[in-house]
Amino acid sequence: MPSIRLQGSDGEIFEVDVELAKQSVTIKAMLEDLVMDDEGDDDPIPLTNVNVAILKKVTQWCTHHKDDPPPPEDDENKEKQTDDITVWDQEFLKVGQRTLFELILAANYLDIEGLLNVTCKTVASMIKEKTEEIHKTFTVESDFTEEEEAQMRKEKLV
Amino acid sequence: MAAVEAETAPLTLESLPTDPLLLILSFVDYRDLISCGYVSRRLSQLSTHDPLWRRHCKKYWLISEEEKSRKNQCWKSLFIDTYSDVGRYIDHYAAIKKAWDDLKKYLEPRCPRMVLSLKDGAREEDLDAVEAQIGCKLPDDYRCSYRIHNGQKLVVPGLLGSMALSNHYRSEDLLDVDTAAGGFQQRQGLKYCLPLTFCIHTGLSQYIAVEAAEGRNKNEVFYQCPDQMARNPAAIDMFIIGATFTDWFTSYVNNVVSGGFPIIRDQIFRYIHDPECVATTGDITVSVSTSFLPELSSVHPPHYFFTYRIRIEMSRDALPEKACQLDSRYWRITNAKGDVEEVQGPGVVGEFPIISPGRIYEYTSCTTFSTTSGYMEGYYTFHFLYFKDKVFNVAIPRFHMACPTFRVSIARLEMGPDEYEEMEEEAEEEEENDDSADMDESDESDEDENESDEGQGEERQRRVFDVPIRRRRCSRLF
Repeated sequence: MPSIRLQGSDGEIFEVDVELAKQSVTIKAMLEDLVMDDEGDDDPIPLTNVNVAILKKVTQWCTHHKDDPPPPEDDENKEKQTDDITVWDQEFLKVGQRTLFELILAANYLDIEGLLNVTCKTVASMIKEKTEEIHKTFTVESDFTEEEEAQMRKEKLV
Repeated sequence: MAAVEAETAPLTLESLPTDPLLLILSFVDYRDLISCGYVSRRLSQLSTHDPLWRRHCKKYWLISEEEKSRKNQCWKSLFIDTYSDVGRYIDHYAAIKKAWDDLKKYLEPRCPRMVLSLKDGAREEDLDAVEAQIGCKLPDDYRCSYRIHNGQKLVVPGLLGSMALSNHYRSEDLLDVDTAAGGFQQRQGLKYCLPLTFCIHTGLSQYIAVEAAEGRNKNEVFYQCPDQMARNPAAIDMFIIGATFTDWFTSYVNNVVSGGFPIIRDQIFRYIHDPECVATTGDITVSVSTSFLPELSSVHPPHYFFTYRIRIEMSRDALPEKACQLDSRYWRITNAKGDVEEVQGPGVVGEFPIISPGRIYEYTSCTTFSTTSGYMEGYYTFHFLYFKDKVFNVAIPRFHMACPTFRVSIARLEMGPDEYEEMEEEAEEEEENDDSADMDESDESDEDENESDEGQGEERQRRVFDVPIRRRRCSRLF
């Protein structure tokens, strides 16, 4: 199986099977731009936005999902669910918040639709029904002024 | 370098790029989407991204693109406005609105009078006033439906279906909430029951139990069925039609819009047809649909009245010489206990129809069982029009009839066994004098049934009470 070499943001080189790597639309496009020479030692593809630790996780996901059928066309009328994450994916994503967000950033940069969907669904299910505690769960600082906060509480839209 | 800085800077929800953040928000429910808006400026701005709200408008309020352009509002404000109007019904609204939309769309070309008779939705204040009047809360799904349409003007044909036999006509209108309140029951046996429908010809109503009482579950929809054997007027048995208003209404609408209930001359007839209940002999196809008539049935004494509608048709492609005429019928009737009865006679409902290629003949008749279910099957005998000596049989497919789930009144359970014996004798006396169902034409008059229904344990969903019933008349018309 031919493989390609990827260089993470930390400089480290990581080798991965070509077919797996092509799950990333970004890498696939890069490969089409470069001329692939089977014999020669190619320069590794630089991925400035992803470190190797996350690359390894991403590869792990792609390996498990390599035989997945392509995702269906995005149907606006189809109800979006968060409860259809497979058990394997749930286990895979039992990681710290930071890693979860790094996976989102990587999936976004590398353009891997399936991984982006499942990581975002996971975050969405963490938001679900948190109401007041979204601040705490995600340690987000509120940047509203006191007046603005008071105004919002008064409105109470829903 | 950028990489080193990224590792030390905190990575939070806030700091994600816009596209993934919008994707996350697209999975989140409306309440959480609003909550996100209170978290920080950026989340507040993103949570008002209008396409996010399109999904919620469609899911909860069934608002279409066309309606949005007409109202010239953004999706978010449409959602909020609708919420401030009918938000308290958000859990029921989509199912009930869809039922109404589907029903009206289906009935407009077929039963225009019915659609015109629908009244505009009641206001919240009107519904509150009714609750004050009856001293009970109305179920939320009921209120939701009545916000959309406040019943019908009491005209024929009824939205909830008609039934016609030669001397019995019934059409159930959907009552408006004020008329319904006027019929709110306080008496023993029907406490806390609000009528949903009414037939001006027979006085038949379906009721909803707005509170649990007398063995009824809250929100059940049922037909009342007075216990004729108990001397207690509070002994009212019930045929249960739905567990909740939503259940009752949406299943009715599904039966209508799926074509399950036929529309005959701009009225809905609640005949149930099993698509497998069809028999073809040569070029002739016979199919049957049935209907249970609660207003002519009772649990005590056990008397279950069904009407059936038979359709005889000959294929268009049949050769003209296949034209034939019906001479007689043969029936084999079996009740739930396995008792069989055979009947035969000339014609059907006094007619001897001619069936020719492309012709459809339909007729209605009825039967009763002393058990909650039973089935019938048989055949017609025809002769060819042009070869009168040639006769042949055409099969009638077996068709089953079963009454809805019923529940025995609490009052009956509370009766002592001694009262029972007395009742039995009285009932028998009445039986002999009683003119059973004075239904239409029949060649075979009333059959005397010496069935003894000893212990009705096999019947479903009963509070078991052994009632030996000796002689029962069961009039049948085939």
